[in-house]
Amino acid sequence: MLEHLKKLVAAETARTGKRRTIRLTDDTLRDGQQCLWATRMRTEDMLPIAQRMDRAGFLSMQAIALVQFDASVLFLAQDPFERIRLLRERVTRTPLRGAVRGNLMRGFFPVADDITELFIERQVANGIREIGVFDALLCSDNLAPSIAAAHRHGAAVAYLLGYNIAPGYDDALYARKAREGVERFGVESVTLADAAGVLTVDRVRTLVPAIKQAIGDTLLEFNTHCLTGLGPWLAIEAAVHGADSILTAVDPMANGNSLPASQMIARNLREIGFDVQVDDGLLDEVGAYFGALAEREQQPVGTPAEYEPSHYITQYAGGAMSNLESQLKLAGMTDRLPEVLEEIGRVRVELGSPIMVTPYPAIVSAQAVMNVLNKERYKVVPDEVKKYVCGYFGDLPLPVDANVKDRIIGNGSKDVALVPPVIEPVLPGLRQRYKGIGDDELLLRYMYGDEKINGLKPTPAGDSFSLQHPVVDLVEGLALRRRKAQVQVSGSDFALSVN
Amino acid sequence: MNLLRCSDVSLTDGQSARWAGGMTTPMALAVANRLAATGVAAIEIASPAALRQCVARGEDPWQRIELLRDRLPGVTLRAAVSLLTEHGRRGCDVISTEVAKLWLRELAQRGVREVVLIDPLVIVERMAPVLKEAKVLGLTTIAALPFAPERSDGDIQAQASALASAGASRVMLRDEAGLLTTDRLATLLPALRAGLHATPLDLHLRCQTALGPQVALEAVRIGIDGIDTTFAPLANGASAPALGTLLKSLRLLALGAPASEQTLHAVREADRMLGEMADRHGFPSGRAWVFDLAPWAHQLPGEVAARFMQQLAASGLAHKLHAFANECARIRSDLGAPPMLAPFARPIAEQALLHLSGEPRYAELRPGVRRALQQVYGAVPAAVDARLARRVGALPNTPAQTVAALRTAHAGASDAALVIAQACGTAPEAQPAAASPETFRYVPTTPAQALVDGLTARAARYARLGVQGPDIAIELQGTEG
Repeated sequence: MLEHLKKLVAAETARTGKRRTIRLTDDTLRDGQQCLWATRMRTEDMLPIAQRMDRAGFLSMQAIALVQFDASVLFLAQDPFERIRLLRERVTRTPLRGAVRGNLMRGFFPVADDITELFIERQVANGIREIGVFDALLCSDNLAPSIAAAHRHGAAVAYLLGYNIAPGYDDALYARKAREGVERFGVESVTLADAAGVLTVDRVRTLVPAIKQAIGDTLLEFNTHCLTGLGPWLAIEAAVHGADSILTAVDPMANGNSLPASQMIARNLREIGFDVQVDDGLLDEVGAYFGALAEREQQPVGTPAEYEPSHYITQYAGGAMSNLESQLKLAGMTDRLPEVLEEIGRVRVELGSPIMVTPYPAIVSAQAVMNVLNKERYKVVPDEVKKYVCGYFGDLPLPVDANVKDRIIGNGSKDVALVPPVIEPVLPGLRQRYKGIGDDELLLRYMYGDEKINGLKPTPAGDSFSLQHPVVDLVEGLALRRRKAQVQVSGSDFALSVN
Repeated sequence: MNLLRCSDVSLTDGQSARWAGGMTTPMALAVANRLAATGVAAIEIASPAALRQCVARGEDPWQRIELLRDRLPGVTLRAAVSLLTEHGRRGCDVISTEVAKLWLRELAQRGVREVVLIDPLVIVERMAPVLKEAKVLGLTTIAALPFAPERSDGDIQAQASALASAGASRVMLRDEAGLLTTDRLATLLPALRAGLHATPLDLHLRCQTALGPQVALEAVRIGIDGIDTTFAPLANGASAPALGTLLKSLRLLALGAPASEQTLHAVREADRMLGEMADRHGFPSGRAWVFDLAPWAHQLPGEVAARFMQQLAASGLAHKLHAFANECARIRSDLGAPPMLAPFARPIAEQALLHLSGEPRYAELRPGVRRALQQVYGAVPAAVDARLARRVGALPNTPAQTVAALRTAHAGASDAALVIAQACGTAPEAQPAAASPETFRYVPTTPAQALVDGLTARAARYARLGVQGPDIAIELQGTEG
């Protein structure tokens, strides 16, 4: 394997006349802590290490996305825009990346473009320099307003294409979508995003070159996760087959459910003949910081996973699965879970195999449960399913089975119009309701309600925070003083005297 | 597809790789029944490393085998025998055919029914008579076929054919460094099948690169007859794949006859018991290692990889893993590209670590490196570095002592003791004697109890001693002063 990879890289270097540089995009503060700490990392714990991360040589640093907005407000009582600002004060060389989720903001249903556009504007105003855009239907129309807003405010756009195992999601489809991102929108980079870590090495070897060929000189970024233990291998193969940057997390915030480790990927890519310009020493310092922080916070660090093929088969997010189980329990149908799961697989394909992230697991499983409960499939159609096939969520990635579509439209509620209504702008109403507050607060109140926003606490800023015992800090601080007189300090359980 | 035979190596390779050989005879006896309850096709109860570990602990290795036999009636017992030794005692670097036959006889007398015969250099002429003797003794012989990624499918196939022709009942492809990939299996397994004709093909592989469990599944899909596994707390990393995960995955992928719920339950119970034991004695849990390309350079096998990865980390050299790996590869090349197995791998890793620590290259030569340069184990595949070879000089050929001569020289020693002496490099007279079976009763000891016992035994060295930790506080009055 090692020799083979070296040969491939050497052949490329000989062909092009220069060693290719692979960049690393850091995802410790966003996805790493999301995967390992259920997004509970507090802003003040990111700040003391932010400057060192800034100097480590990353192409960019993912700072925040919708999940971090949610956790910050709902669980940590912290203002996510403040996090962006405080990080930006310390991260001055490396672009910080924010994100939007199509036209869904943080909810289940599409929202008006004006609120999404303001959301992007405020991320940029607070210090975000790149916006990652993602739509689970791969529907570019859903992303057009966000991309335009990002560009209008001077931010670069990372165009995410979610990897999906489903009929029709072939290399050509991804190449077509990637080309569309570049040609239609002029996005600065395309990211192949494997949220569930279910890419295989064989697929990386065809898919990455197909996308790279479609986007030419536009930067191709590769993301995967390590649930099967194969993530690092996939990332290395992706680089060899044309990816320009790899999303990583700093070890020990890597592996397990998280991303491949920055340190390990850098060393291995160099070993096979690439240039990787990150400062390994700084990365180790950053890793030591997060290791100590994890210990203090009693949060886990990433541990490598054992390979298990079940990950490739379920593709059904953990959260969605527990929802389904509790719904079936309420309906007294726990014993029919296997039947429902099988039906979910069938319905999903008939509905054009959307990527199974919110809201699609709920839509697909609602129909599957109805199909299992009733003798005739699609006899009872939940409203969301009819809305889905009528394009309320956007154009579908693949056509819905024609017979199924007829049954859904015929049996679905007549109250759901066949043509989606135009979504009215929400900002005028919001501005009417909230007078005299800034746009950041306006957005947060729209997203989370007044009660949560009234309860937000300011972040204890400053980088003096330390993971060491305060006495150790004190001694270090004294040692740093140029003029040393006799110093005596005594506390309740210690006494210190320095000459 | 034929029925897949899963053989357990927890008591040998598993505990060597994950517990640094720390499974005592009482521990092995305590878990034996649980392992057998899973219905594995065979349980490996002895290997050269396990014999050595026993002797080092002061346990009689033959008594371990006998006690395990008594504990495991009706279970097929397996042992691994290697024709090359690591201890460096003159005259027994290579186990003579005569001593090997004696070794087999002692094993067979104690109920062992299958023998894995290892000659890392695969010199068929010295394996053939041993295979023949094993057959005479009624043993199933499994000839080890070492995998090395740089060797062609054709080369490995030719060795497989030769081993089958030499009389092996089965041939076992052994990937001790976990370097097989699904890509390589796709060509190698069909080639081996073609070379072996009707002789069954088994697979033993490790998980240093994290690919082991995936490779195991792919091997079953393409078609193998048997595979070595361990129980979860002793699996993955430098060890073999976990039986429980393998069975569940096979069932999920509808490969072969699905494991019953009863079997999976028995596996979970064995996993649980070993997990509790690991926790109690402070052994690390059987976690997977992270994928890395370095193993393809250093190619260190099982427990050697475990030991040196730990040593790199402990010396703050983990970031120099690739430099270490490349140095191992360079030294190996200087030594004529011997297989990265005992007795070659450990000295190569030791030598690489010396070089990595800043010593001029080859300023000091590790004894095992010296022996490899002198080619005491047989001819290596490539040319040895001429300068180094000149430096160590040739070694006068020390002929192996005949069994008759050994018996005369050690009149009071049994044949069993002579075998251990040859395999482990110890004096037959100094070997641990069999102990009363009562002393092999497993007494669960927590780390805290072990600490108190240890500190109490050293009471003369302190006046007062206090230990504070999470959930623990120990205050001891010593006898000093």
